[in-house]
Parts: sequence; C-alpha cells; structure tokens
Amino acid sequence: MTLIYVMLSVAVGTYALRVAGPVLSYWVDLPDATKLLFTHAAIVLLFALVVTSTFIQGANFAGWSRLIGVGVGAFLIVVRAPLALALGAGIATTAGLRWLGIA
Amino acid sequence: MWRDRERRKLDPGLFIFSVRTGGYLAVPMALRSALRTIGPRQLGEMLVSCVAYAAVGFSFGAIATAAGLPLWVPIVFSAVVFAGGAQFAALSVLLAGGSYFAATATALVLNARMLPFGLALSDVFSGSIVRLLFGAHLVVDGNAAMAMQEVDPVRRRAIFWVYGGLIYLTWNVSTVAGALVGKAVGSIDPLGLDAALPLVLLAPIVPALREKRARRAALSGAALAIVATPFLPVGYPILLSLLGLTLRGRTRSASAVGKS
Repeated sequence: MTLIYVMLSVAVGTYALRVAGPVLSYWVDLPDATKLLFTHAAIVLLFALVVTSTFIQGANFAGWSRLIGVGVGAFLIVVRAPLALALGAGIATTAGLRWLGIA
Repeated sequence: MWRDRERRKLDPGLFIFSVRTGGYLAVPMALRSALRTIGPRQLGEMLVSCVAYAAVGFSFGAIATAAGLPLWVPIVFSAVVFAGGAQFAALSVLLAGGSYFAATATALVLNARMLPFGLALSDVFSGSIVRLLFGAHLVVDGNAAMAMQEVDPVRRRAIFWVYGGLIYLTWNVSTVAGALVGKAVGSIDPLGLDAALPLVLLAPIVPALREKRARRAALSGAALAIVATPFLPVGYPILLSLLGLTLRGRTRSASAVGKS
C-alpha cells in the first residue's frame, strides 16, 4: 500500500515541479545570476547522483565491478568518445568483472 | 467542432502536434520538418542515447519485478513519473525498508532539478496551455540538456519535442521488457546494466563541468554526499550536495580578473 502512495505522490510532485518552471518564468523575470544558480544546482544534483549511484547501493559500497565499469565509461565520455562506445564499454566491463567473480 | 473533439479523445499525442501546426493532416509534415531542423548528427546522438535509456529503463523494470513486485508496478511507475533517477531512488529506498516519507522526499528532491530545467526552457512551451500540460511531462535530463545548448528557438523546440517523445517511448517500452525479464530470471546483476545509469546522467553534464565554477560546485557537492552517506538516510546525501553551490567561488568575470 505504501508503494502506491509513494508512486502517486512522486508522480504528482514531479509533474508539479515540471510545470512550475515555465509557469514561474511567465510571472517573474529572474536575474541572470539566479538563473545561473539554478543551472548550477541542477548540475550539482546530477553529478552527486552520478557519484553516489557509482559508489553506493542502498547504504553500502556498490562493489568494485560497477565502480571500475563506470570509471571506464566515464573516461571515454570525458575524452569525447561516442556515447554508445562509452556505455557499451562500461556495461561490458562491469559484466566481465562479475563473470570473473569480482563483486 | 465535434469532429475536433473526437480526435482529441482518440489521439492526445497527435493532438499536441495538431495544435502546434494548426491541422490534423499537418502532423507528419510537422514531424518531418522538426527532424530536418535537428539534422542527422544530433538525431544520431539522440538514438544512441535512447539505447542507453533503454538499458536503464530495462534495469528499472527488471530490478522491480526481480525483487518480487507485481508486473504493473514498474510499468505504471515509468509511465506516470518518467524520471529515471527518482524512480530508482524511490524504489531502492522502499526495497531497503524505508518509509513513505523517505522514499517520496528522496525522489522529489532529485526531481527538484526539473524546476530549473523548466525555467531555462520556458520558451519551448510558450503559446499554448495544452503544449505546456503535455510538454511538461516530457522534461528529462537528456532533452533539457541538449535543448538548453541551442540558441535558436526553432531548434530548441524541435530538439525538445522530438527527443522527449523518443525518450518517453524508449523508457516505457524498455521498462515493460525489463519487468517481464526480471519476473522470469530473478537477477540481472550479471548483465552489468547498473553501470549504465551513472554514465547516462554524466554524459549530458560533462560539457558544463568543463566550466570552472560549475565543476568546483559539483565536485565539492559530490564529496559531501559521499562523506555523509553513512550518517544520513538513503537519498538525503544528494540533497546535501547542494551545499557545494556555496563553494563555487566568485562570478566568472571576477575570477578571470583575479587570475590575470
């Protein structure tokens, strides 16, 4: 039952957040510094999500295979390799390490 | 008039485009001209990213049903929430035994970034309330990041709608596929798909991270989140990362002066 409430609340809340941006910009014209702050806030949240979902599963260390796989993929993204290659390499590395018995 | 209403009932998706272009028959033409506006290079990027979204959506569906949840849960979740990070966060908090509040708060904190996305993209929805109501649901990291990089309003609009629609389709189809497979096999860990989520989220912000202030804020925020993980309930460390914004230093012009 909790599950259904969570699903509904997250759906309604997310939709409200999505509509709020355009509606807000219709009424108020935010200064550039504030807009930049919001842009940076989004980047910070996303990057924190990248890092935590790389290292952590629930409340514990996610394991070396995921960490190394994401590391390989991230390196390829940073050196401007095609995204498909970066993803394929990341997933294959993680899967390969697990196949070798590394968690 | 009644025919118009009949159409809306039959096909809300096409109705969005018909509002945009002023006629039902103009739908394929509008799509074709949008595709031409975007061009093959970025369309290619979109399709590749969709493979990535498919991997993440697939693992979402599979993780949910492999954990014993009924088939419809991940499927409805993906359709009504349509935000990968938040869905994973809510699901992992619930599966770890977290409360209603922890699961909801975590997911909504993650999705708070939709607000700045919407602010930055408001021109994409302008002109029609229907466009806003449907379009808002299509705001995700991928199409927001790609559209925000464009200056030309026509290109912004085309990229936002086409990419958003593509991701929505991919996300939901792959969730259904993952849910079915998860129910059948039990665990998908050996496939290594969990490496896809961080990479999909990283790719669109890498250009922004090459800028000094954003990078400083992001690195310090992420460090805070990691350090806080053992002490805070699941999900809250990500909220804490916002403190990194206070460490990003002076404005770009001021720091340039300081360096020279």
